[in-house]
Amino acid sequence: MAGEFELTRNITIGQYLPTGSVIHRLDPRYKLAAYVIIVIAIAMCSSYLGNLVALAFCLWLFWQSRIPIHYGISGIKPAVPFIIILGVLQLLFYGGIATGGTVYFEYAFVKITSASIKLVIVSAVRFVEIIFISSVLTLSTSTTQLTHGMERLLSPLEKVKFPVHTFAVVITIAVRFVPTFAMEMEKMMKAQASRGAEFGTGEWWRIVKRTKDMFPIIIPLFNVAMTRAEDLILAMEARCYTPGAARSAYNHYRAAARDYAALAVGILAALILLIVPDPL
Amino acid sequence: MKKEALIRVEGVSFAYTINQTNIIPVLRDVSFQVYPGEYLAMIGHNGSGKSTLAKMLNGILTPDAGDVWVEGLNTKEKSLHREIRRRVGMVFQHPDNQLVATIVEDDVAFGLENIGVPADEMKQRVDEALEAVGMSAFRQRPPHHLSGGQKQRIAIAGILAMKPDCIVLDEATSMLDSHGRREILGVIGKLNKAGMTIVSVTHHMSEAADADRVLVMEEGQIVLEGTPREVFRQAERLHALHLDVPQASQLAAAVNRQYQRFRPDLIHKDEIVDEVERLQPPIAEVSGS
Amino acid sequence: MSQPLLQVKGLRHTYMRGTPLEHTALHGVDMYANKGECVAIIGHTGSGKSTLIQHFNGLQLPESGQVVIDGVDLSQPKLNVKELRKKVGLVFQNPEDQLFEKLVGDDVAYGPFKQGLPLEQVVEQVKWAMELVGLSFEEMKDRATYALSGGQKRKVALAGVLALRPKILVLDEPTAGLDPKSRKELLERIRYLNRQEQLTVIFVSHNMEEVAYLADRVYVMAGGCVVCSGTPREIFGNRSVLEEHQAGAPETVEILYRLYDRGFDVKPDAFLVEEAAQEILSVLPGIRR
Repeated sequence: MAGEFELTRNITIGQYLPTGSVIHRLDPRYKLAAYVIIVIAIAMCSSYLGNLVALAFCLWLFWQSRIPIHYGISGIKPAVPFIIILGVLQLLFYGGIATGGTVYFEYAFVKITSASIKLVIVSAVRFVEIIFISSVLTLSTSTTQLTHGMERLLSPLEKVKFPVHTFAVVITIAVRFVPTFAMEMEKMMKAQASRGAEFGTGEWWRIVKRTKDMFPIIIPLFNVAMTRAEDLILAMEARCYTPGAARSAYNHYRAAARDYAALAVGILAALILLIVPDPL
Repeated sequence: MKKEALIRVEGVSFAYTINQTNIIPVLRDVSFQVYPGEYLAMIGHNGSGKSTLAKMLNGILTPDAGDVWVEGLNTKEKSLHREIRRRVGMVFQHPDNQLVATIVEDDVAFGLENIGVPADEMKQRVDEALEAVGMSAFRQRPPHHLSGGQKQRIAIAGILAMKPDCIVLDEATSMLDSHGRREILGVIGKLNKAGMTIVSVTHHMSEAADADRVLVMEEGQIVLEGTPREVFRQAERLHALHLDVPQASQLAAAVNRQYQRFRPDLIHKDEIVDEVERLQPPIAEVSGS
Repeated sequence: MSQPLLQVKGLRHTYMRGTPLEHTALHGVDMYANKGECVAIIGHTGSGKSTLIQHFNGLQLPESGQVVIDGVDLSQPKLNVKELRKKVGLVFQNPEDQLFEKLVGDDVAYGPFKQGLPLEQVVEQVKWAMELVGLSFEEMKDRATYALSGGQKRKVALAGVLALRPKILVLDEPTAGLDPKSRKELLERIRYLNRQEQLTVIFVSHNMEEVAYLADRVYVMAGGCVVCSGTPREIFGNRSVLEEHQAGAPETVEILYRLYDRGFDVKPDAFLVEEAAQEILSVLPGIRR
């Protein structure tokens, strides 16, 4: 119960854990590109063997980046309900769509087949893999590097008039304020609790009541966000920021051999995942 | 011999328009100059217009009537805003609400990126600015783990990197604890000694006592102006304006009431000590006369 | 001697236990507050003050050590936190941020309503609380909260906690960011609550003038421990503690210390302006101690 308000201390997403490993030192552009390629490959990989390889690859990444595995596992915890719900839905409704495989159970529209069971297992494992690899990415890359990487990867879009710079500034600010708002929210919850507020009590179906309980947090938080936004706009203007105007860049990345290697490893891993045979 | 003014505020009036019938006048025909190298403090209670006036100095707000000139550039010219803001930097009240980036050095570079400074020069300017505020060791840190005073030092570094001619502090110390405030005042004092023009809007009278010149605002007008000594001599007047005088001044006045030879117009702690010494008879022993 | 209203013994607290970011915020803190007392807690950011005061109303529970409030041990497994929060009103820093109702009266009534009190009693407690902080119930209850000044908003937030009719009022930096006029008003209110209404007040502050004005006793915290405690006079008279923890002292005390250093026979713990003036007069020639 004492930890009920400790929001900032329990958030691991977006937490950067500098260990100085090779993976940490990669050029964020290449790291991000490799990440995107692998995630796409994982999403497309539907074989048991392929996913086993992918899982092994993720664990290898943890080892390489010297990030303790429990960081990855704690990232899975909040996703468990989603994985379960998704699994149940797939188990119940996918059997009718996916043809083939042995039918184990059939009642009305519910049909459980070996194909649907495989799908449930594979998609759960894929979920875990994507959380693992995303954890490695965010734990080994500072948010600043991430946004820089994103900005550079998106820069070809400038040709089609996509405001890449503005987009990058928006993302940076959003990321910059995540811990600030987490702290603000923690303070707000404690302050209202001191006046007798209770959160998340009462039966879960009483959504209206539970939503109303959150008003004393949400409304002030919104006000604070508006004030902060106004302040921030002033501060940015005072430092010569003009939306859409040309800016120079402080951070320059020069790709080294290891960055090309990382991208190559990423592409290779993706290819393996896609072409690995499926014995079942 | 009076120096050419760095900022000239001439007959500035300004009002916030809420709707057609509700217009709140904030500044009424205000004129003053800021001279190169000086340390100017602006005091006044909340709603006196001092913060609005500060925001006039770099074109964040522009006058409804009158003009503000920054080294010959009129803040009404929108195309000059970038140049004006480079020359007059501003540090705001909330340490948290003015840092843009997720890493200290990136934040210091933010303004430089905006004015298009080339990358190599940027590195050097960021280094120098962080050095000047004593925050070089923190360049790779995320700002949200720093103390309030440290965040404000980063904000100052972000301004310094742009090589301004003047820094405006809009209640930059009011959210800090005494330690943080001393940090910032130390940095400001050092910059001012090195020739930087400082305009400081503050609630702290002891900060105003360190300035070269003090402006007192009330209802959108400058009602008192002078050296801190001249201003704080008028304790009654300041009280009527809901302002204090530094404790050192109160103390000097209290001693003077019972001991007329003691100067009443002292404003610094050390001045009191010196005054006590000055009044001692040539022989060190204090006698009962 | 009866049991103090609030008693803390050997309190420890560690954040993020068992992770690489584990951090001990409190290392065995001892303190107490008697009924009707006004106790100040001073110390730097990170000294553990905030963690400590969050133990007073059960926002944090003792990990080891003991917190007993009005005879209730906070370590007991069946602790009624709701009852505890009725007894101890905690006002956070910048409490005006937490207002969420459109009308002043509604916001102050939030706490009493949450306690499930009947309407008449809610109205009575709201009225009592608003008048106590100097807001006229009839005039202010139907005002829009967003249109108030910063100082007024803070009073509303304070009333919102007082409306719970706590026995102990805990305040974190009650005057931070206020202008001198609002600050003075709020300090007078807190003093009134303590002296006239016999409310036990515990407050965190970095402003030594404030501590001198309000506190009966002071705790100095550093690195998660209480390093020193005593009356303001004892604390301000303990120079090594002030310097080691950069706690700062009222300007009057600093001046007296400087005089003392120059060999003058003054008692440096005189923090009120009039007292300090007497000390200075005593070393001026022609005046006998």
